[in-house]
Amino acid sequence: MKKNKKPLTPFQIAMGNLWQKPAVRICLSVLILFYFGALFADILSPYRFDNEDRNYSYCPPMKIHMVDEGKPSRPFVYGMLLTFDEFHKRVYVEDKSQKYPLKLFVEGDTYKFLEVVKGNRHAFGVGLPGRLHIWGADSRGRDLFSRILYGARVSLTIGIVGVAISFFIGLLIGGIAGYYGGWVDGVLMRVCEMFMMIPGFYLMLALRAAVPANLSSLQVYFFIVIIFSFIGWASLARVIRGMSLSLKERDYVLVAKTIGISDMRIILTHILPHTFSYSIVAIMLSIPGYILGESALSLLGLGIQDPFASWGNLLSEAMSIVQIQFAPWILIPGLLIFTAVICFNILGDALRDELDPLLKGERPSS
Amino acid sequence: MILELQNVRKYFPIKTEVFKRTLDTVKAVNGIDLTIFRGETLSLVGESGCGKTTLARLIVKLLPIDAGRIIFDGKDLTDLSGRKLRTARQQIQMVFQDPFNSLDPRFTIKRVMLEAMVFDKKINLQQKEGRIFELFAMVGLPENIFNRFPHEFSGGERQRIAIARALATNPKFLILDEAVSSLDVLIQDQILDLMKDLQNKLGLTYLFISHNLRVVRKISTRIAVMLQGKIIELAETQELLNNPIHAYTKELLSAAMEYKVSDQTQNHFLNDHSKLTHIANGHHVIHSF
Amino acid sequence: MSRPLLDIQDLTIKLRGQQDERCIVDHINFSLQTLETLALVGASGSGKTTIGLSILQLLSPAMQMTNGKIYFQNENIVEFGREQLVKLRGGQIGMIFQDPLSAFNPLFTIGFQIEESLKYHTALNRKQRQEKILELLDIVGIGDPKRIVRQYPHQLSGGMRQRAMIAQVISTQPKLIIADEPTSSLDVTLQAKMIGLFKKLKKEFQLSMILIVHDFGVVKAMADSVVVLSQGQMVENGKAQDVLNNPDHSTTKKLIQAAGI
Repeated sequence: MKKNKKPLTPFQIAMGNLWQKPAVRICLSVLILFYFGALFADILSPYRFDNEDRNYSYCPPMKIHMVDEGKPSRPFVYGMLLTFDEFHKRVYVEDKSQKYPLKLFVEGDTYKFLEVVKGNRHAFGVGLPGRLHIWGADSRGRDLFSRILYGARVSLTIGIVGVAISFFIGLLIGGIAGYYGGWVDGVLMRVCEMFMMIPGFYLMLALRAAVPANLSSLQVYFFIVIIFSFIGWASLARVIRGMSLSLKERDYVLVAKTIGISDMRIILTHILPHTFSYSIVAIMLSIPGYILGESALSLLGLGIQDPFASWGNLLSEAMSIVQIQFAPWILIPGLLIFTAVICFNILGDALRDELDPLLKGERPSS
Repeated sequence: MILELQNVRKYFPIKTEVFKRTLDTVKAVNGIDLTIFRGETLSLVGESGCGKTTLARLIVKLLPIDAGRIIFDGKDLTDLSGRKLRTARQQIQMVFQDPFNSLDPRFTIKRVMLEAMVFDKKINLQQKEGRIFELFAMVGLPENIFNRFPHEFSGGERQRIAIARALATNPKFLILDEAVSSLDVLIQDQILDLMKDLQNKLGLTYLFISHNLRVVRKISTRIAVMLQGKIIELAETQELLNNPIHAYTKELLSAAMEYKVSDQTQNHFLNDHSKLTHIANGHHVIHSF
Repeated sequence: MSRPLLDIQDLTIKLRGQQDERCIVDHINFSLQTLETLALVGASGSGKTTIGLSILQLLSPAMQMTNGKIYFQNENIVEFGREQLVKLRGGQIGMIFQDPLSAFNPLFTIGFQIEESLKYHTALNRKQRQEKILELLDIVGIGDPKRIVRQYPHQLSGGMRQRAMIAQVISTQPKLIIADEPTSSLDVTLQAKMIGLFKKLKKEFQLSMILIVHDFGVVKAMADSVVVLSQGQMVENGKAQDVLNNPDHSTTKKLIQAAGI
């Protein structure tokens, strides 16, 4: 006999089913890894994002050696010497005279974790005067790995925050429009259509241009988020409005009315929750759009500015074929954007497949 | 007398698509005069499209009335709104036909019941829970259903939950809109017995809406026959079954009790001004002027 | 005594893969003579619809007939191959379903769908088929058949759809018709008309019928004999009049009372 515990909602059963799928577990783990890296960027990265050393400009990813002249030893790196070959191309040669062992909890640049806790211990690194670039360095000798971790903070959160705002606006407007119908519906939907009419990217550029150019990076971040959510809510609202239109006819909504429950409360407790199966999937699948949008903006120099990092503006260095050919590691941020987008898409698809029967009001597949 | 309907009308305009011109009007409820007495079970019978469900929705104010008055327990509900309407609503509750749709699938039974009692400020949460358990006992449900979800129950059980929910606000008047029509035939009788029991215990008045005369005669004190938005005959149950006067009532009875129907389709002409007139002994029939 | 048209022996149906579980249909035996109308009566879950589907070997893949023989015109249709079954369904045995809306394909007109049935089971040419369709629609009481043939299922009222479905089923002149809750979704007067129609068709086309119902009122109005089912088991059977006047089993009594007759 089953224990008399609280039974699972159909939603919880669906979540349990999802966790069984290997694709879901992999993608979720990858994303959790990314977000973890972004959160603890201060500690996990060997250097601050603006720590430069022109002696290491475009330094390739450094090899970590485990064998020292035939004998196994603790991991270490050699110093890198910059030389030029006959074509005046940069070539880095390992300087075997300088050995720098890899240390854990090494002292390094100071930081303020989440603007609260001061510290200067980093997860790994090498002591001065050595430098450790496991993924190489950019044109100014800034460690790419560190900048990627800091950049993740912008690129990965802009989608979440933007989507959260769109979600709220879209659900509320769609719910209200569908529930009341009549002129309320008409007006709200025309507003929606106005927003949908304008090509997203150009609206974004226009709004960005309207924002003053001399803002701090944080303020720019918020503006970008607001601009994105401005565009994104409309298509969600339209679909939610359609669902709300049919959901308001359900008997349990009529029951709530006969009890005397207010319209807003009915929309929030009886109608909108039944749209979650759709909206969660829609949101999940739109996050990649936000990530790519931010990347595009930053690439064009309209988003996060140097020295602050975002995966988008890290890629701006990769806009030249010359650089790509000779310093291919600067494409790594692109690879990560690609991976994050794929993970979100796979998760969104899996969510939709699982929640689809719920959408139609049937029981979950378990 | 607990409910009085005076010349209640509800018209639905049929509009053209683009320019919203009114082409025609569907006269769903076309001048209903009805008095329901305290403690009785009045059944409203009629075929699909006669307007009985629309009338039910007008009484609980789910639809706005176009003309006429609704007077409940001495209070005129017609123009009531806001808090006064909300208070009045607690007294008139409705049980719907479809047991699968009348409970929100995302709500636990506890939440369903508490929602019904949300405006009862006089008792606290613990007392509310106590009352809920009382209600469960009254409708024959065990206490442990509190934390479960609607989809875990059968149609009959869900209808009991719906009845418990309807009784949560201590109503005096219950409208049952085809409340047993979707239930398994053996369960129907159980629910009807439950309702009779509750009526005796709580002194409720019922308006029972159905298209099934054979079910209706088991529990009604009076029966009203509805056709094209009007009540064409009203009498005590036995009187109606034994001495039907209107041709349509006779048709309905013959079809329901003996499965006999005439080959020619009869056209019962009712104009907007036909009124229900008293003949004798509480037996009313419609007269066209 | 002539051989029965349909003879069901020891029919047992269970959920596939669960051999020791409760039966959906538990060792049912009954037979149907030609021109007889038999009612299978029971509440939901009693197995009546499953029995009806099994006669046409249309069980859902989740169910399995673990035992029994179904003799139709002295042949055990359980042993029929695919081709024989296809000829049987619609040709010799017709089935009327409860929900006329889902019995028709919403994408095609009524006329088209009835014609399909005629195309497959008869050798009539196009003109003859068109005439037959109009004739059939008239017989089932659809006024203005010429207009109805061009309509789509959703454009007709429930009663009309029901009649159209009956027209399609009798178009191939089957010997046996199985009707699954034919009147449950209809209004009172439509129900009575439908029963009148069934009686008329039975006479005109020499039909034998199995009615699957939960309403003893229909039994009283139409059936010659009745089989009462409860949870897959046959609890009572006999001539309709006898069972109605002297019900034996408690389920039978409850069903009769529920019907309010």
